[in-house]
Amino acid sequence: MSVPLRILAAALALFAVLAGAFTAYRMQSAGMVAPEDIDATIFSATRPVPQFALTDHNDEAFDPQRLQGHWSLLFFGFTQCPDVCPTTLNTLARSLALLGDLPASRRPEVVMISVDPERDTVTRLRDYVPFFDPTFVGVTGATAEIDALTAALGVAHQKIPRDDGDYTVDHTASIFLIDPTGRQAALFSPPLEAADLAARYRATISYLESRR
Amino acid sequence: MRIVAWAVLLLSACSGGDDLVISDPWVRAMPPGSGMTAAYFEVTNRTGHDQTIVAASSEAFGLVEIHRTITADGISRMQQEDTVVVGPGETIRFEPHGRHLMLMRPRGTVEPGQVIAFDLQLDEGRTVSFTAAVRHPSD
Repeated sequence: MSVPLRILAAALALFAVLAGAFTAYRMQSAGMVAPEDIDATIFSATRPVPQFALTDHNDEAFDPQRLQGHWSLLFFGFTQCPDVCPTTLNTLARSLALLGDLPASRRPEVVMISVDPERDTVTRLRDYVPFFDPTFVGVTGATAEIDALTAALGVAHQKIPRDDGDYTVDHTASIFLIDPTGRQAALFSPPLEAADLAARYRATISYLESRR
Repeated sequence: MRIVAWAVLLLSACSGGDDLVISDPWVRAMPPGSGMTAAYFEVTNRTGHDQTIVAASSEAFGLVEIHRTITADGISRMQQEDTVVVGPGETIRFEPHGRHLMLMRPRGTVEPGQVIAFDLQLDEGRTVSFTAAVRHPSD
């Protein structure tokens, strides 16, 4: 590379660094967060949630309309789960408590959708889900409806038979953020810790609100 | 004061003596509707040789297994462990989202305030006993 070209390359590199720093400064002073600084998978274009017809733990219909008008955090789990599901639901309960200062319109509704609809009846979910937080919503329904929803969201779940004839379920442990228009907005992957998850949620909704 | 000190000594003797020490044991209160829960603790090997845990049991449950939660690519799986080898001087943690005692077929309720006794069987035929208080996960 000739000397003038090197100078030009160096000048361009310096310009790029300064421009980046300036943009970051402007975003920071405007209270905006760069998506690359948020520990979440933010979908570049919001994706609609497909039609589904499920039932909540109060035996009310749970369909895409129920995701309208507020942020939602969806977790896919099951009641006969000794470690991951109760731990995650407890993390969600603690995170929700840490988000108590947000106005109701910015606080999430937490929903556990069963990946074991065979065993997770409405009654069982009514017993189970409020144990973690009285505002949590448990959802179950026909296996075909659960399968269609999980397939559309990219949620993996697989029944694993045990030697004693029982079974357990391997499943996606990530938490899905649905925006107030009922579209998929972001994904929070494990490890999930309460304070960290609350901070990730705040940063993500602030960014998504600023993008609207 | 002296009585308390003796009681503490006796309790620690129940926790496996000086060789395999159990600390911070607790059981997650069983959520209603679920037929299972988990126990967590730390186990420290204070001997100069490996200590191998081959099984766990409790009168309070019909079935206790050692499992490990493995989360990879966002998907959580449970893997049963036949043995857990604790090396000399090593501490192994049984913790949420990790290794745990999977407690199945409860013989009664599992509620905060209860204390549950456990036995860990070692490959050399010895048993290490300990007790764990039941806690609501939010406590």
